[in-house]
Amino acid sequence: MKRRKAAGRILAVLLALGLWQLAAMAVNLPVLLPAPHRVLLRLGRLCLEGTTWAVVLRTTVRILAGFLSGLLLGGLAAALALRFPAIETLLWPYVAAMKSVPVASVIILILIWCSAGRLVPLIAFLMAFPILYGNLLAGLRAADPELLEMAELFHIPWTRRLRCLYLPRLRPYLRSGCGMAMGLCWKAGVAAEVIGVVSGSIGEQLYAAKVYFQMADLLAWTVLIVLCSAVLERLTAVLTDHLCRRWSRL
Amino acid sequence: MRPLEFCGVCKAYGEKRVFRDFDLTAEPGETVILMGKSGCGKTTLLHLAAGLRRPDAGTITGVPERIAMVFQEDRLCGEFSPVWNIRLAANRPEGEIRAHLEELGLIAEADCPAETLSGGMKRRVAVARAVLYGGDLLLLDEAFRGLDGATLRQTASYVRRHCAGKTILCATHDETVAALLGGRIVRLDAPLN
Repeated sequence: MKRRKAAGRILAVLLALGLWQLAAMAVNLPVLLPAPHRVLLRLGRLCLEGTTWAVVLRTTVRILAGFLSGLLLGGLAAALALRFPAIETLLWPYVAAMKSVPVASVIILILIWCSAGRLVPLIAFLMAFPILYGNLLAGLRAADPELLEMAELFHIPWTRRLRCLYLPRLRPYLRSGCGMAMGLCWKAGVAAEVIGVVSGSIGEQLYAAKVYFQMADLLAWTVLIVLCSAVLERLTAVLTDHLCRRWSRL
Repeated sequence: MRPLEFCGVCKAYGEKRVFRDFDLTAEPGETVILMGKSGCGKTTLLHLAAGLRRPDAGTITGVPERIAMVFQEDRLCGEFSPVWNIRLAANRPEGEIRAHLEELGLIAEADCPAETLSGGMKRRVAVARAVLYGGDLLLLDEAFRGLDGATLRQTASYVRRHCAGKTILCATHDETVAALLGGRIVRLDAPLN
């Protein structure tokens, strides 16, 4: 069943590439729409250049800084909101604003208030925090009340309760939250880099490709962003699972 | 050690009154079997003794610091083994836990996830957890439910062996359990309205 699904997906991707190739042939203007093989060639060349990886690393570090702060503060806020319900009410306007205000507006506001260097971590944090806070709070609330009552009666220390009763229930929420937040951090983070023209970033490369009308470069960098985002999403999920399992052992 | 005393205890859930001016005394080391129909308040009485519920009126005195309980539900973490579940509550050496599980005929299942065990096996794990936790008061809420004749005798004898000298409050509606555990039988009336 899994193999069938994977084969189906590969076929769908090949079909999409075929359609892209047909469209490129119909347009017949590589400067507007390069064929897939041109983009792949450009991507290959980019991968061989040392500067590409320095650029990717800088963007990744900035995005990860925002994501990890979102995870840390989201977790802390969720734990506090579980203990003191008033915190949830107090945080509500901020969380609602982070979810609903358009990213472009926030980027411009941050550019006015702060330096471009702080833009990406801040945007990644603003993307990650509401998702991780919401998911972690739901995960903490999913802990079995009967088991918690048992823990109370048997005087189980809170560290053990956290590791053994909360963490196993929290795992799926943490996993899906991290995956979602990581994807959003990349999308919004790179958008912020483009708007803020952050030096030495992927966004700057995209901006340059747009200015010089280098469509193959633009698409090659886009593929690289998608790959980086997917790898980090997967890595986060695996790491979350591994750590949760490890910590919930006695 | 002081006796466990319920004096003039009243408890209601909304309009439903379960106890009104209820009195009961359990001497230290005494086994008290609480019997009565479903809904007569056996579980409520154990929860009051455990401090999990508060009485609307009256006092409960002589409650020790450490209380062990077998809940009406198994309250085990399904994905973890019996050894893990017991260690979580009763911080005892693994060898001792395994010896207790062997006494209860559960050594083959000691490392299986609790969710894969039968209902009777889960009950026995919950019993072992309460016994190994220790404490001066043991509360048993239908702890022997779902056990067949031989297993019931084995489990009751295990409890008597390891909990001699402790105060035990056991809620059941099974006369066999009452006979196997021994002790004083207190029959609770049906809810007051």
